Amino acid sequence: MIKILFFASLKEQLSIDALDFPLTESITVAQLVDELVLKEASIDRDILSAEDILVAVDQTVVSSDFLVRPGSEVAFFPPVTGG
Amino acid sequence: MIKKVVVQIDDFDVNEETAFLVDISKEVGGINTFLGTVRDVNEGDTVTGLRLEHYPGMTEKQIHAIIDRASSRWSVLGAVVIHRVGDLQPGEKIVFVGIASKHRGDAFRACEYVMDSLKTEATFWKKEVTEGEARWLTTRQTDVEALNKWQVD
Repeated sequence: MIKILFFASLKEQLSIDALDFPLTESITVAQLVDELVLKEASIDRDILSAEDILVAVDQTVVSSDFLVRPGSEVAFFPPVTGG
Repeated sequence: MIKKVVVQIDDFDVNEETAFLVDISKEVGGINTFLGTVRDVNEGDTVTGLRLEHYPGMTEKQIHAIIDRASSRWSVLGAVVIHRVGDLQPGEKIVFVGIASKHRGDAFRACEYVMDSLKTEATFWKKEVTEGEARWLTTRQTDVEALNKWQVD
């Protein structure tokens, strides 16, 4: 199982802030996106894989070929605008 | 180096935070502080409020890493970063960055570096409420350029 989080505009566009997703073996971030689109009705591919969307695994920003292991926390979010 | 990193809904007291930096050590000879507040006009529109969201856990981790990077480049004896989240009104305080160093040059530069890094790296998102609508802000090119100027050749 992995925990998936969505933030800010992405959370609003998908109308979901978090979900638990079954994962028994490691897959890449890109494969995870494919799986999510396939198995979760609320996940829209165009929204989740928009060019500017960032992905963090266990609270570190990673690229799409990063391996997600079972037990990880994966977050999707738009570019940051703090300060 | 002493670090204080807080993400909170409540307001903070600039004098209290500055006093914290003064009290860190008798070695401190210069403290530079930055205070960010909510503007009432943005991109030509009247702003009536701001909603700030963040990624609890990751945000704090990132701010600690930003301070550590600043400390590896400049002499930093103490650093305070306070960032507010939740609903804010024009004129309210959003962010405080304070750096205590032996000498002013390090304090000035480290403070600006931490602030520039916060803007483009820390997981905060602003939603601006203008008359009639709410919109998520997008990254400003000037903020990206502000961080790029710190890149070592």
